Amino acid sequence: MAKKLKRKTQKVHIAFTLNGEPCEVAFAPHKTLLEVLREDLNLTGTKHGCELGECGTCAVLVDRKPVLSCLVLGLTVEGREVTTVEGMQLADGSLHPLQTAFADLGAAQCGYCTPGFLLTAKELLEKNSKPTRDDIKEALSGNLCRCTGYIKIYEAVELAAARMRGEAAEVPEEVVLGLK
Amino acid sequence: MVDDEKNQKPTGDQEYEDTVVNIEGRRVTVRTRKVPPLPDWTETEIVGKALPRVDGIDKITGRAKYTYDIQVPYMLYAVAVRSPHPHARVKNISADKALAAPGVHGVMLPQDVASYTTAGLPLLTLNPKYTGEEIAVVAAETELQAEDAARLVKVEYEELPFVMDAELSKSDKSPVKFFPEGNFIGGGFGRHPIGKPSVYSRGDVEQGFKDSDQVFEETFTTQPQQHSCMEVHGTLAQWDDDQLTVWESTQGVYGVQEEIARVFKIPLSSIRVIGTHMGGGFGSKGGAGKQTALAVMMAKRTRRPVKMMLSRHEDYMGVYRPASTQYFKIGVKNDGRLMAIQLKTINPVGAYQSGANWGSCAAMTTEMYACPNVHTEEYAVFTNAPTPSAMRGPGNTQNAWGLEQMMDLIAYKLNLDPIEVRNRNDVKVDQVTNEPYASKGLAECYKMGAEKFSWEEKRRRRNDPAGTKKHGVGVASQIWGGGGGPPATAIVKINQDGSVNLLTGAADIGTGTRTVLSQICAEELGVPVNRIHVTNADTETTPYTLPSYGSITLASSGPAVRSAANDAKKQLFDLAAGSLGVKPDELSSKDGFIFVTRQPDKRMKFESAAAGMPERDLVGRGYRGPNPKGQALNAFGAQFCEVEVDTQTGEVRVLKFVAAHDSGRVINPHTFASQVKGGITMGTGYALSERRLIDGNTGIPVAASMLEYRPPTSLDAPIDIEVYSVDVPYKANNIGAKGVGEPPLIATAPAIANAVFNAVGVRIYSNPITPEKIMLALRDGKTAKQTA
Ligand code: FES
Ligand code: FES
Repeated sequence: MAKKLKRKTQKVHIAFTLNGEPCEVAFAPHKTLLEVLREDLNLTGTKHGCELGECGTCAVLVDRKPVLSCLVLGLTVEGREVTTVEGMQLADGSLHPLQTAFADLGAAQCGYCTPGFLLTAKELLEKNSKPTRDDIKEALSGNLCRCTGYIKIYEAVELAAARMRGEAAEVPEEVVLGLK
Repeated sequence: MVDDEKNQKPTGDQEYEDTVVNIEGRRVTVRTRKVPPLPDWTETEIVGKALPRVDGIDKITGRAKYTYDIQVPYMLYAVAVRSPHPHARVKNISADKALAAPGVHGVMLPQDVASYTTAGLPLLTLNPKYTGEEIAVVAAETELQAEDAARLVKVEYEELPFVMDAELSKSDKSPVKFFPEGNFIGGGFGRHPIGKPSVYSRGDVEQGFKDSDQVFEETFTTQPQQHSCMEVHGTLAQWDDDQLTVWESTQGVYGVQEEIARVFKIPLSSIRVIGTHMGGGFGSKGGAGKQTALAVMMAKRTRRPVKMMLSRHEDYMGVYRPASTQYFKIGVKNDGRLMAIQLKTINPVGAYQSGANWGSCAAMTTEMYACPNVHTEEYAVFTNAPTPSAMRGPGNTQNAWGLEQMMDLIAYKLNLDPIEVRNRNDVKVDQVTNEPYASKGLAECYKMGAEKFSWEEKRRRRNDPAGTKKHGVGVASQIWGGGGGPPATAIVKINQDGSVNLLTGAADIGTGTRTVLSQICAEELGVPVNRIHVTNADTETTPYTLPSYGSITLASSGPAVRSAANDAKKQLFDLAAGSLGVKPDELSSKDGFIFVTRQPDKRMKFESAAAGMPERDLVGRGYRGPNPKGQALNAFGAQFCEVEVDTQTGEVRVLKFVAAHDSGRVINPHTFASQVKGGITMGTGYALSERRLIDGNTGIPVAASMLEYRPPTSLDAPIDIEVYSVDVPYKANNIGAKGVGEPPLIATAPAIANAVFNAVGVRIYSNPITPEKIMLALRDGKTAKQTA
């Protein structure tokens, strides 16, 4: 006989910085950060792909480091700084160079994996302004994409990096065409 | 969805005719209206340009809402209770405890849904036939409460014998009898009697083998492949009185709507299905799933909206591309000409008859190469496994693994270039229907691909005998449908400010449908693409189209969009003609201007003409007309691959792919290349890493997660992929395009296998090509036959 399950239903209340702004939220204590973001804060840009730490679609930045939000409890971000895709825009409201590069090159097909890639790549470019192709592959190896075949994603990260360094703002035609 | 009986009703109207649509290899006759022909596009301004995706910004800002993202007030979460046994009888089932659990609003048991089936499957069952089959459903206020309560549904099972192995199931010794007539049926769509294979035959194979100089016999096997869409399958259903709204991660909102109407006998007008953004389908989301019907019913019972998203684990316990065993016998002349092909295929298709639709893979063998004598025999065999579904290039992807390796093997034995053997067996006519191909650019694909790949030079290169990293090159070809067809309707609305709404029922499953259809609309109207706002995949606001399967979307909806834009343009020209003092047919439009064709400086702005519309807007309608009679509509391609095989570890690295495809006119080189690159990466997974394993002793799936199933990561994908279109003109529809969604996957895995053979001289007959199989084959110094 299964024992009657008693789940603590009382909510916990935390304060943290979300996308640069102070945020307070109350939620059931067992909830993952992914669930808190999506269900309690309605920020559904962070995607649910597996809830097992296997796909990277749920990646967000916590104190500027990529974290799989499906694997940490919402409680753990108390007092910390969380960035989701909704907060990637620059202070003036313009898109982050990674976002423009992904859009320019069509690095998003169905787009479901895109937020996770964007945030993971953001951290990479903050650490390393001129990553090699291998650096990029390594950094993104925890993010799965079933549509694109990754190459456009690497190219987009490279283009964004170049633009952020103030070089090569133009997209090489061959890359844009994708077709030689 | 297309269903023969429904479409055979004659309308008796001269405006209509019968036409054939090829969907996933099945030829369906549908009745459709004749549409006025439009002139071929000669020069284009917008079509053919690598424009960024029109919905790119939505996707990179997180604004795009997928089914999983939709939340509505008072929403409940539904979770299924699934059978832990591959075959059992439910002796007792009780929902009392679950119903009393916190937050629970409803439990449905098999007896509650006994009168319903979807796609030939019971919604819930007392007689589960595979591990993971749905027994009950629980709905609660939170997902966790639903999961907890699902565990409280008390089910007592009587375990029954089960069978996982297709050969055993097919034999007299099978511990399970699925049907009195036997445990197999003919594979493929159509009505087949149980206990008989489906057979295709032309010529006389026995005579063909006698006339051959050499005969080769080999057996190939393929693993099941799982779609692994990044967004799992799922539904959100909400009733407002008798009006139902369903958000579904789907390839076809109309297919889902029709299925709900059929299952629950409610009018189509009461059902709205929305599927605007969706996180990948690859064939697995072609229609309604069981969870669709269950969510709809549960929402009705609980009077609350119900969301039922599968977990990743459940997703991996679900649909897949079936496995195959392919017994090939091919007779050839010494010059490489094929004289006879005999092929028997065994395709395990799960426990239900509907799975047999996908239990066929011989079609490619019957049409790819010229051969007068062909005999194929296909067995769809029942086992205690889940029901398969379509998956990207169903049938041909399995078959290419065998056929394209056979061609490679023949070339090797005859000491011929594999391209030469293929070219010597080129054929301009579909040998099954005897219809000529409307266009076939395969020879061009070989030529262009070989040149860009430096095929001859790379083939001549020799590996250092002492080295442990061996390079090898391989090639494989593909054929697929992709000609599209009716029904597909589009609506183009011009607003009084000159802005345009394009309404299409077509799904954008990541392929770029929204973008390419906007380009077609903009091209025909002669306005920039940013003037067009496209709304798609919503049964309430967009017109009918078939689901996005069979690579038919572009070639089905594209021509309808062009016709709709043309209809709208003509109406606007009627108004503009007065202002410009000419007749409407003397007008053209381009770059946002309407002008007199012979006197281009006599012109007015598109929006000025729109401002003069007395009704304030106008609506153009377009329909997909019939396909040309007596022509075969197919897309072709050839892929060249270079691998490096480590003879010390057995590891294979894919260094390069060059893909040359014939898909007619490329509407957007960007989205075209993306399809091909994504397809090749998926094919690389099929060749090297992906495997769906069910434990034969317990009937339980053991690789039901991404980590274990292993779709390619950034470290496994090919290092470089070059994509080319051969641009062979195609005139079978008014936009000149064929589909490209599925073709790129078909040739990939055999190209890799052929390259591995070229590198190390061992042929791997079963996918995935694991390091273990290579090491065993190298150790034995011969080809690895069916290593498990
Ligand atoms: S959802 Fe977090 S890793 Fe997949
Ligand atoms: S774009 Fe679809 S999964 Fe990456």
